[in-house]
Amino acid sequence: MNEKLLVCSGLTKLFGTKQALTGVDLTVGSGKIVGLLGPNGSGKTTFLKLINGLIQPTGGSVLIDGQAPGVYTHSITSYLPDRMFLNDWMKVIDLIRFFDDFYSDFDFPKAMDMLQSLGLSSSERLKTLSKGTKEKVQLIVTMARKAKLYLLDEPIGGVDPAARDYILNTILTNYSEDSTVIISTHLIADIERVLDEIVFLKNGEMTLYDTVDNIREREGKSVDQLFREVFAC
Amino acid sequence: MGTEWKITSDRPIYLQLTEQIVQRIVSGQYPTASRLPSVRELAVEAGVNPNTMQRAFAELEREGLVTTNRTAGRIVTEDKEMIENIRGQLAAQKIEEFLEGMQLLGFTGPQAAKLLTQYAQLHPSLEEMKSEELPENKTSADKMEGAL
Amino acid sequence: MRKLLKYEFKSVFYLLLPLYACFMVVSVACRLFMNIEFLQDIFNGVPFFFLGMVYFGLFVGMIAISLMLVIQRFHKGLLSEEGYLMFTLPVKPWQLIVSKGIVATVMVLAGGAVIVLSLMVLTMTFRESWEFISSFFHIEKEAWEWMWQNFPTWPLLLAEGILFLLVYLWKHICHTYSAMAFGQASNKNRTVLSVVIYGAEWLGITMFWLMLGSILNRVSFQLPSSMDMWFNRHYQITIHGLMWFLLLWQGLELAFYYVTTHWMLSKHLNLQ
Repeated sequence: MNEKLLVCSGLTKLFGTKQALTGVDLTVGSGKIVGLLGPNGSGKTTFLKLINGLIQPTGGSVLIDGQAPGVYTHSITSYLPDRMFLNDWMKVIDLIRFFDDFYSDFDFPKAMDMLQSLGLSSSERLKTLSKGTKEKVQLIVTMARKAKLYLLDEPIGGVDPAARDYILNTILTNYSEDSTVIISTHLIADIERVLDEIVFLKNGEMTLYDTVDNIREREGKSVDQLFREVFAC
Repeated sequence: MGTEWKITSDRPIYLQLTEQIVQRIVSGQYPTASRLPSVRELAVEAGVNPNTMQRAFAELEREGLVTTNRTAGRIVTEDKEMIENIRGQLAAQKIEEFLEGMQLLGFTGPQAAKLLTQYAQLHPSLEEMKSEELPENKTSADKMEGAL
Repeated sequence: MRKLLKYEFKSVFYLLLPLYACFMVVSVACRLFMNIEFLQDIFNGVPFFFLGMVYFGLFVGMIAISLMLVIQRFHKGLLSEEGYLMFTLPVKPWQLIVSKGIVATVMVLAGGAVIVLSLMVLTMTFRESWEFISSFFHIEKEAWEWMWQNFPTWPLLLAEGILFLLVYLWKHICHTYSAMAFGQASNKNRTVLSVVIYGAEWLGITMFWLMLGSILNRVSFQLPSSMDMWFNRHYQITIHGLMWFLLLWQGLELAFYYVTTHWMLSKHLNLQ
């Protein structure tokens, strides 16, 4: 159990003149499922990319398991971006072997299981798959790892309800005390039951960080309802 | 298997989970002295965060309905009297709700009781009826596979 | 690192090997046509004409595809969506750049080798080509002795030459990488920016060398004539020195392009 799996201090990111993220101070321990909630453009993706080292902060720092983003943190972090990152020359099974090769925490049998339960064939070329199928493949290779930190960027965004249930079910069955899942989304009602804690992100600023239970007790309403109030247009 | 988990959006989830597990205990779905399914299993079944389920379990332990045995896991209490008491309390709540509802419709207490008895006589096997209506025995995961 | 190379090679050669094979097959076919005259007579040279065009087309195509692949593998593989996959791997950016660079170099060399091979098939008989190859190894005894006597360090020269070729090739490849790395930093017109920067880098570096050269010229130190004679006698050292100078020159350019690529990709990555 790591109390400080993710530590952000004054994390700031400027894109030219645009403040994408301002002074985020956040400490997340392991064994949690955290929702990163905010409307589109509030800085959620920027935040996740900063944790991943895909972009560099303009100010402040982010540490994963005590280290700045780099080779070690990549090996314990599993990132599911909201884009397609599949290349087109591989087959499904090639991609799985690729992940197996590079990540020591990759669970090959589990990946094959997930392929089967989703009814996907392992010998198809990635470029021939439909969008929905590609998303499922990406989900599989991301979740078939025993990572310490999972970063999921809008995993349930454009996905049908049955697939949504499958994704949430996978997150729950993957759960372990040593790992934490951060899910960024603006569709809160569907995933609120699965979350331990939530972070509200408004215009790049963190306006709330609390547990779901606390919020329900204190406000007498669900996080979804609170969100609608706080972010009303 | 029996009942499904119902989570509403306005109250803390762990409280709702606690209530529903108590329901399962008093109805005999989790018999006395039997072992409860693990936190993880139930969390997946209910589609909730395992920590939240853990908190529900902690509540149950606090109330004495469940004890933690290091080797055997969580056991439902053997105290049948306590279970019956709770069952009685919950039943009283349901009856109160029923009577309040009937009062809103303009019935007095005795009238409501009479209607209730008549209804039960007309539909003698409420148990049988109920089991006809129950959905097939499926876990959440099975349902997903079917849907996908 | 090895794993990166493995996947990089796979991604490139699954396209290139069939292409090389086709090319060779067509070369052999051309050759057959040229030699077997009676085939020519019968068909009046028409199929040969087409075959010739195919050959030429494949020839140009191979060069174009190899060049395109160098650029495309870098651009698509690192700078667009696949970059999300590659840059989150537990590897350092330099390993990504170097692995792509190595495979690109090998690709160009392999392409060159296939062309040479095909030309040999076209123009020489078996005996001639055998002689051509063996001529590299069986230099006449006298020439051999002459070399050993007068230029005993010639193997070193050969090595230097090969090294220079590699560095030169890799430098050009890194030049395109560097331009692309700068280009990806903007959100619009990445391609145009890359091309502009490619030219700008070339211009900048050329000007730098020219200015450096003219400064050194001013500060020209007249070697005493005794040094001149010394250089003439110890011509081996002179020639090696020259080679090393060339290596240094191109090596510095390579270093510049590599460092800029690495800097842009680690500090200013801008995946869309």
